[in-house]
This record gives sequence, C-alpha cells and structure tokens, in this order.
Amino acid sequence: MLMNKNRRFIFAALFLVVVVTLPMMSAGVGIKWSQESSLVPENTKVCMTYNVYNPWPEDSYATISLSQDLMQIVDYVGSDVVFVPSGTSSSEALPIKFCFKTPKVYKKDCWIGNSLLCKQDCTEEMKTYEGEVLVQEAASSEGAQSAQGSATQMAVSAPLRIRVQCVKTGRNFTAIYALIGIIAAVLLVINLAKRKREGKEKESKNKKKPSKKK
Amino acid sequence: MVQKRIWNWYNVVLVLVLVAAVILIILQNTVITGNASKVLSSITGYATEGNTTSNVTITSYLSIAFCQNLSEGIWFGEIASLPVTNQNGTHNADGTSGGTTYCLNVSEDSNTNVDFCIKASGDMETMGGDAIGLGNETYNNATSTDANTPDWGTEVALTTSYVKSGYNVASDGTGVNYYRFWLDVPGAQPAGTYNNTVSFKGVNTGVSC
Repeated sequence: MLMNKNRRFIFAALFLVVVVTLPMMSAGVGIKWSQESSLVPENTKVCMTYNVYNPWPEDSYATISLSQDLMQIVDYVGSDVVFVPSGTSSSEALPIKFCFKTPKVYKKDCWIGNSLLCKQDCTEEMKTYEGEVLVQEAASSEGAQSAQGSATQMAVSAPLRIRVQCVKTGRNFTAIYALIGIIAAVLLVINLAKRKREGKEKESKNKKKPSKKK
Repeated sequence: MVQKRIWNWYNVVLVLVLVAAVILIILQNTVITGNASKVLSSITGYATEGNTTSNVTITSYLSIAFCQNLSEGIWFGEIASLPVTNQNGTHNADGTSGGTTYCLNVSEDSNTNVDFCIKASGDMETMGGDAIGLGNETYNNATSTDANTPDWGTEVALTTSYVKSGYNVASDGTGVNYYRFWLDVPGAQPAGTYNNTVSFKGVNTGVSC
C-alpha cells in the first residue's frame, strides 16, 4: 500500500516536472560541422555541407547563411527554410549544402591585355577569408511587435576559414601557335587553289594549241 | 619548271609550320604545363620504403533554445510618465525566488560548451521614425538566477555588433544563460510604440562572436 502511494507520488512529481518545464522551452536549433577550414584553388566552385538538428520538444525551421566576410567570395548560398522536426538528435542531423565559387584573386603577368600570353608565378601571399556559417531559427518573435519592446532572434554558428590557393602556370603560347597554324593553313589553301587554277589554265591552253596547228 | 619547284618548297614549308603549330599546341597543354610530371612521379621503381596515411575527423555540434518568455520578445509594457530610468523587462523577476525567466538553454546533445553573443538591430523606433537610442536599452546576464542574479546594478548597453555576453555555458543539460533587460526613456520622448530586434548567437566556447 505504502509502495503504491510512493509510486503515485513519484509519477505525479515526474508529470509535474514535465508539464512545468516543457512550456518553458521554445523551439531550438543546432549546428553540426566537421570542417572549419578549406583550401580551394582560385576560380573554382566548391560545395560544403553543414548539418542542422533540433533536440528540443518543439518543431523548428532553420535557414543557413554566411557572415559578411565570406559573402564577398560566395556566389550563392541556398536560402531555403529547412523544417527540423522536434527531437532530431545530432546523430540524425539534416544536411544543408551550400556552394560557392572562389574569385580570381592573384595577379597574372600577361603580355597582351589581361588574358593572353599569361603566366602566374604565385609570389603573392596566400589569401584567406575568415567568417562563419550561421544557422538561424526562422520562426522568431518578429511578428509580435504590437507591444513596446524588442523582438528576439536566435542563431548558432560555426567558424569557417577559406584559403584561396594560387595555381602556378607557365606562359601559355597556345594562342600564338594557333594563329601561326591558321595563317599557314590559309596560305596553303590559297596557294593550292592558285596552282589548281594555273594548272587548269595551262591545260586549256594546251588544248587550244593543237587546234591551231590543224 | 623553276617556278613550279619554288611553289612546291613553299607548300612543304607551310605544311611543316602547320604541323609544328599543332604539335606545339599539344605540348603546351600537356607536357609543358606540368601534367606529365605527375605521371612520371608515380613511377617509383624498386620501392624500399612504404607510406600510409593517418586520418581523423573532428566533429563539433551545439544546440540552443530560447526559454518561452524570451522567444516571445522583450517587452517593457506601457510607460505613462517620463522620464523613466531602468524600466524593467516584463519577465525580469517573475521566476521562482524572484529570478528572471528570460533565458537561453544549451542542449545536452552538444559536445562543446557554448558562449553567447548578443546584439540589437539598432535604435528602438516607431513606424513614424521617432527613436529611443540603443544606449538606453541595457542588459545583464548570468548562468544562474534568483532575486539578485543577474545583478540589478550592473548594466551593459546593447550594440549593433555582436558582443560576448555568456561565457562557457555548460552542455551537460544544466547550462542556462539568464538575462535581465532594462530601458531608459528620456523626458521629451514622443509617444508611440517603439521596437527593434535583439539577436542571440551561440558559438563554440572560446570562439569570437
């Protein structure tokens, strides 16, 4: 009898704890990452994956974004809102992929203009961009602005450092070789055509000569 | 006849130039650019040493959530007489033992302790453009709460850039960062409803905002 009473008391206490604590927490957001730096050749498209999760008792919506420092080298970041169900643990975290293209940041030594007969010595220091990947809870209190005060927003972030690698290249003479080749081919075609025409003219002259003798 | 020969030689030279140009283009884009050296470097001959790679992947994860009252915003109620100094946020002291119920929780499903950063979008403004300077909105925070904690006497003004507020909040399931907010309103402030947005960010402990 006493055991039953104790059990009831324990269950009642547990129920009370759950009822009291659950409404105290709103939806949350989590980020999981396994890379904080990346070495990427210049002018190259790269994709990275981060994971979002939500171990809290309410469903949430998350968006991924990059800090301003990294936005200068990023072409596109998926800005879709991702639904993260309640109770999604870090081991079940949902992947969010984003891609970016590194800019051309190193100087080239070109003989003609900015793109012909160029070589790249890579004597400059390696350029590094530092910032962070932000996962923000999309649902916030921003809509509820009828009272005087501040709406609130929440985010979690992971640091990210991108080092842009210079790719060393020798001077490329392809354009010159191609130009010489094209000129030679054109001259050859003209010459052959000329010779063919001359041959025909000679043939016709030869044909005409015997008729005169007759 | 001589003319014919000259033309023949001329054609031969042109063909040679054409062939040379094609060969040089191929060489330029394969051997000279260094791709060939990669092929050569893989030929090791009689190997007397062996190499293997060693690899590890380190994963970090952290999760945070607002307490219910902070998720709903920071409200200072209706102010009828000005000036006002340190108008309390409506949930500054409505918790057990007079503690605050403005808080952020760190999940135990995190493998790192968390530092919190805080910032505001700007001055509190009405739709018509009247503003209460951001320096008038202040806060204090602590990892526990009661009637005296976070301290009522120490205020930090909000800024438009993230600054570190909570340090090394535990990820063992007990980690909570509690906040109190206050607002000063000058005497000549025009009537209206003033709003802005306060943002919180959780980062790996030790990492800057």
